[in-house]
Amino acid sequence: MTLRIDAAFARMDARLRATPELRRRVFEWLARLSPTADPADYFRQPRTLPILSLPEWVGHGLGAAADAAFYDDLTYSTIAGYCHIRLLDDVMDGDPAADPMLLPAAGFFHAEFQQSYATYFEPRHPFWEWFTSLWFGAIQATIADARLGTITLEQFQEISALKVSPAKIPVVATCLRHGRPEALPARLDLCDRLGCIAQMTDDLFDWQDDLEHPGRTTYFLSEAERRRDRAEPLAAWILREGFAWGVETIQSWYDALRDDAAALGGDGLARHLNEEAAALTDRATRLIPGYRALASLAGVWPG
Amino acid sequence: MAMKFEELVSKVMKDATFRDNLEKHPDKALESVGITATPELVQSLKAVDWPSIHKVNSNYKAAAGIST
Repeated sequence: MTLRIDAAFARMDARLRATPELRRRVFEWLARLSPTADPADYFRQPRTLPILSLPEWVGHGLGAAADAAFYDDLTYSTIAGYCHIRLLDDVMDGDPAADPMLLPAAGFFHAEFQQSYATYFEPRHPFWEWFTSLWFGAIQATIADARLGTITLEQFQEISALKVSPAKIPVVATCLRHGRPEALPARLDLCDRLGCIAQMTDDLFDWQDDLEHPGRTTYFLSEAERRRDRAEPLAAWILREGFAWGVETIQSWYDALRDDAAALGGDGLARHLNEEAAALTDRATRLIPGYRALASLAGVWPG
Repeated sequence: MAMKFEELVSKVMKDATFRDNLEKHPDKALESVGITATPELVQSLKAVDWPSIHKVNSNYKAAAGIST
């Protein structure tokens, strides 16, 4: 995947050479997102939701022949699509890393994201109906997320599926490119389940930040509100047992996915699930003793 | 108004000076946030597993850096 990411960044650099000022701003922004000075390193980090690797893993799972140019194009498209969504989200959230002067880059990213597929699918191909409905899904998710006061498991699954919908586009492209439309339902369900894991992991580790912003609602905080003793502060339940409950919940989702992983995403997906589940356990193991120590103060704290 | 438990947790996680004071000088730390240092509260603070709490801070930062 590293080589495909390198190729994608080289292509982006070449495409932006016609607009040097935009090129400078885009790469400065990407460098700010990256953990190193290399903007591409942002996309080389391990991800709970493997947006770049998943299409190729699905292709392997389908038994499709290697198609390097196709997966290079998908990688480039997905990076551009991610940048489009991330840029708009960050500007809307007032993130200091995203200068509103960067907004013209959204047009570039969207064009690059969509154009890659035009090589493989004619304008009237059914792929484009999938493309449109999935691309609009993320917008619907933002609206649905904002209007809810509490979130049930069913609502969480529905919203997570909508949020992950843009990542389904290269998966749909992979199935249709290889003439396997009947394989789509199981692969889209896989995306939904990976999306739930990624969203719950985010919500679990961001619980404190979310709790400090009263307008934010997550499934994890909603569940904390439902499960805590009425006399117990919400944070006390999370520290005492809620965080561990969240970890066990995510692990149960990983366990359920493992049974289907090899058939849906080959060895690559199976390995990814094992690594991510182990990383979750490792991170949680380092936090839980301190959380429980803090929880012990809840009973004596006068607030 | 007394500091809520949620606010205590946030301050312990984010304010290293407060966290250190709450461990080593609980009377002063409690006074700084308007809480009366009752013997029961001070005793409870002394009995807390502070090494684990200090580790939460650094581990939380590392864990929060995960990319989804």
